[in-house]
Amino acid sequence: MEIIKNGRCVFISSAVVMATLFFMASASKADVLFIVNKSVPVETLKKSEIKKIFLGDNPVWPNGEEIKLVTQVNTDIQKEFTITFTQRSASQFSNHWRKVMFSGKGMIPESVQSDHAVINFVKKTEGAIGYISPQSVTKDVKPVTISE
Amino acid sequence: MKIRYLFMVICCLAMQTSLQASESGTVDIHGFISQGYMISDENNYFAETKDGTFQFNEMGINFVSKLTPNLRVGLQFFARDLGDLGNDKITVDWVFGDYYYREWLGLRVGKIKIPLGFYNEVRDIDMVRTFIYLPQSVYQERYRESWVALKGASLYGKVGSDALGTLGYQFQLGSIEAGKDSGAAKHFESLSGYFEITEDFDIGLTYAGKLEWQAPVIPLRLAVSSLMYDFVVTGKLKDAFNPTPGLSLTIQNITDEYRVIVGSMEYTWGNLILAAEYSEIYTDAKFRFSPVTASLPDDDMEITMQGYYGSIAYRLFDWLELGAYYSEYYPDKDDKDGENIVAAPFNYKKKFQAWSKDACLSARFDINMNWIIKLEGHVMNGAADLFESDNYNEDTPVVNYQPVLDIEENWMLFALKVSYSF
Repeated sequence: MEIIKNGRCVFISSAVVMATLFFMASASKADVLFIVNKSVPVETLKKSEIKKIFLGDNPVWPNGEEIKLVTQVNTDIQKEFTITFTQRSASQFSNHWRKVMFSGKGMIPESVQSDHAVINFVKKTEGAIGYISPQSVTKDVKPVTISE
Repeated sequence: MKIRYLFMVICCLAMQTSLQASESGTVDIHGFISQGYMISDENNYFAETKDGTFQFNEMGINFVSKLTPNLRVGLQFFARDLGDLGNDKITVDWVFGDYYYREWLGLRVGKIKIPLGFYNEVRDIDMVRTFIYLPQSVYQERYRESWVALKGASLYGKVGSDALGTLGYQFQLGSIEAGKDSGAAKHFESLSGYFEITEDFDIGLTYAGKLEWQAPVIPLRLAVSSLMYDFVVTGKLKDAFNPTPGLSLTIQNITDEYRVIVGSMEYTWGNLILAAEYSEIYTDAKFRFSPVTASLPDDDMEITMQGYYGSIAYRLFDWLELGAYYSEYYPDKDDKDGENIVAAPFNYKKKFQAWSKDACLSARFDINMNWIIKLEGHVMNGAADLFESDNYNEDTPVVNYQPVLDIEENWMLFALKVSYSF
């Protein structure tokens, strides 16, 4: 009985550790570049701040300017972004925003289907932030450094 | 039915329109419409399900605008039909101003969704959940009209750190409503058996609140939420059950304390979501009859309802999500086997009305970003969830001034639902 109890404890502990490592490993792999409009007074953002911004928990920049989000749909980078930075799958991320919108707690972000469209939105929209593949960046927008 | 068609036309027009409200931003318009079909092999479940029914739909449209970066206003109209409940009557689902001061403090004033459990605030939005029916052990349809929103004010915010996770809070104060034709009224009528509610509920000040902790690193969230109020409800003995024509017997239920508490847990692992919730509803009530008779003396009562469920949902593909849950509900946690209800005087009730056990399997098909179809089956044991007024025996509903119910202990329910949102 003691062996079974200890075995159970070891199994549960291992499962928790493996789950944690799985998510930490997922979180550390990312090929996503965040870009902001040149009016945004931010050079660096923490991963936790990115999560708050893209889940609607923080609607304003430090200078009080409204944060305007643009996300991607039906793209590979969308899936990588949602898992790495919001700990949600793409469908869970969409569901989150539907819940926010239909409960009145926020307004759904702009959604586009390419890096080019994200850049276009960010460069002409004050306060905007979006994400693209690093190789798509242009001089029209300001890249943001992400820190842990 | 006409309201549903009108709503669909509005949706189509809104898809093409974005209103320019001011230089601060546009007015966002979004909406949804769901139409379902239910059929059961025994027992009518909120509607005439034994014959199959389409009296099962919801629709809503909202308008939201940011007046300043910190101030947002919005309004959602909503209508639903579930048997006798709703009947497509258009209501204001929520309308409030939301001022964001800091991450740790915001204020909402107006008609605001009540944060009970994980899913009460979005219980009407078919698009955002796996299941057609949320577990009734926690998300009882009979109380939906009263528990979905309150008129008042709410403070909200989040505090936390990368190391300790995030603690979110909402505290609300205001008022809720329950009409004499509401699900809450039908539930009281079912519990009493012999009485019908004759006046809208007189409900006192309502308190609601929620604390939710999001763990650091792992996608685990825990929450505790509560709803408290007091009320008086008045009814009279139904004519069919009155052995003394001309005698009007009224009942007043004075509930000094009605307290709902829900504990919630959710763990997300990639495409897998595990959830479990536990709910208790404590009632401290007095029953007063007029005129007072020896057979119906005034009575004081304390009862605790109990409900809980565990669920699992897994997204297999972008277009397919499967889910299952097991739920149990007891109107009186001290009478789980039904011995007390069958022993009560003037009783016609069946033992299995003391519980409701529900095993559910569900499949959700995401056709595209706007359309979904769901199929769902329930294997049920017990009848605590049923409205008695939906389940009188068709041939002999009354015998010796007592209701005769046509209900079975074991039964099944199937549901199909199509939803569109924009």
